[in-house]
Amino acid sequence: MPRPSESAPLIGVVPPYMLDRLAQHTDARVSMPAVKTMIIDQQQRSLREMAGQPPRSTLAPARQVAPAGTPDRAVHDAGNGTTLPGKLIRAEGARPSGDPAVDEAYAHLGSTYKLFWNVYKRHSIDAHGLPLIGTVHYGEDYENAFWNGAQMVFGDGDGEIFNRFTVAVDIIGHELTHGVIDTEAALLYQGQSGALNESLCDVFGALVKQYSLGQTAREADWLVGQGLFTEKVGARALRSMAEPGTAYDDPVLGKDPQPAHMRDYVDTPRDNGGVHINSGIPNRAFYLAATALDGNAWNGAGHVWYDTLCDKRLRHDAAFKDFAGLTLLVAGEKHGADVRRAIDEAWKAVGVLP
Amino acid sequence: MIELPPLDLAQLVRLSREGGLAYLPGLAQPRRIDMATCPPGVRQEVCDAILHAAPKAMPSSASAGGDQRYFHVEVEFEGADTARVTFDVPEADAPETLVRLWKRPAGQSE
Repeated sequence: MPRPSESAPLIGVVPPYMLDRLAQHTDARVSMPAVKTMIIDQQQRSLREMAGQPPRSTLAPARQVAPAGTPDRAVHDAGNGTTLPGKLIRAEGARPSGDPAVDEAYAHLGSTYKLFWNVYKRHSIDAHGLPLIGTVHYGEDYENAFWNGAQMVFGDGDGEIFNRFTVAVDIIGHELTHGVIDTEAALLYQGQSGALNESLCDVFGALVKQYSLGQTAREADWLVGQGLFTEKVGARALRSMAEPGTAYDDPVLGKDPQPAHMRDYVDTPRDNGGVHINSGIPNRAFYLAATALDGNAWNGAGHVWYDTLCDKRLRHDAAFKDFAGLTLLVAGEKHGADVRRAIDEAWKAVGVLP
Repeated sequence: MIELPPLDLAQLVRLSREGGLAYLPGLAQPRRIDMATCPPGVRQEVCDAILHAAPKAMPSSASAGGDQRYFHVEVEFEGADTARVTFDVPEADAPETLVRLWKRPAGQSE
């Protein structure tokens, strides 16, 4: 069933206020194309408004699915090109290939599957056994990893700033969680809902790492992407969930811009409204709740975050306080009073709840 | 979907690369090309990049999910009241001319 939404559907390429200004331009060579674009845009918007809530992502597997409890991995090699998925190197159950990038991707996809199945009884990304497909050696010196809606993609890094992107298990957990979010709340990738989207990926990425290492919340380092940076730059990791804003301070990278509290929320048009910046606030809330409860973070706080992500009451355009309020409802309905209290105090400590 | 005004009226072009696994301020600085003062060869190169990129434009931020990167192009046009056109191009669809513009030496950066 579609979830309720107040947000407008995605609009055209040129923001309406810019089109308005272009259309009013004194030079007809500038104004006429804008007028035409506005007409097309308005027609398309009407069609989208008739369609209502944005459709939920469907990730249809191309072949027979693996039985519940069993991952179905396939790691490909793009050969430094950009054609996906590339050449299949290691299918499920096959022996190690000898290529570190391939074997790391295979192992870390398995670790991610294991957390979601063993702890949350979720059978892969879509809960229906979707094959876990990864491609390594994407592009030339490509310094990124991403989820494209159907599979994971990893670059080799440039060797100057970044190492290969398969090196960090939490990054693979992070990217696959984007797929989980797409099939659940489908949090809009803009502003606070986008920062929640990013934060949930960091949370479950951290839980994949802690689960694979058997760490308690207080033993964990709560760093996101440790090992991604080379020794040539002054960086511990991409982000710190425990101390947002302290992961790096380097002449090439700049200073980690993440806030740890709502009073420092960064209002910016960059980065889709600061999705990788303001995610520091809910990240720290999770860290505070998990370490207050101690034990294994995938239980307690982790379970509440997972149940909240899958709860039909979570709107796709949720703000921080909406998500925080729902974690308290979920904790009260399904978990103990101590869990609810720790989460309540965590959201208050970062200024999301009064 | 977008129809660009003639680029001979373009005064300023800004290009930034958005998205990715993290926002790293030092690597995210936009490239800025002053079309009024740059050499004719550079101006031609920038116009080619924009003309090749515009047909690949996607709805704003539609390509950003899952840490995919995209290029954000902003063109300012001359006139008493400055007008601007902005559009986004997914990295995977970006023409080589646009990628070259992003990799331009630091001397052209803002």
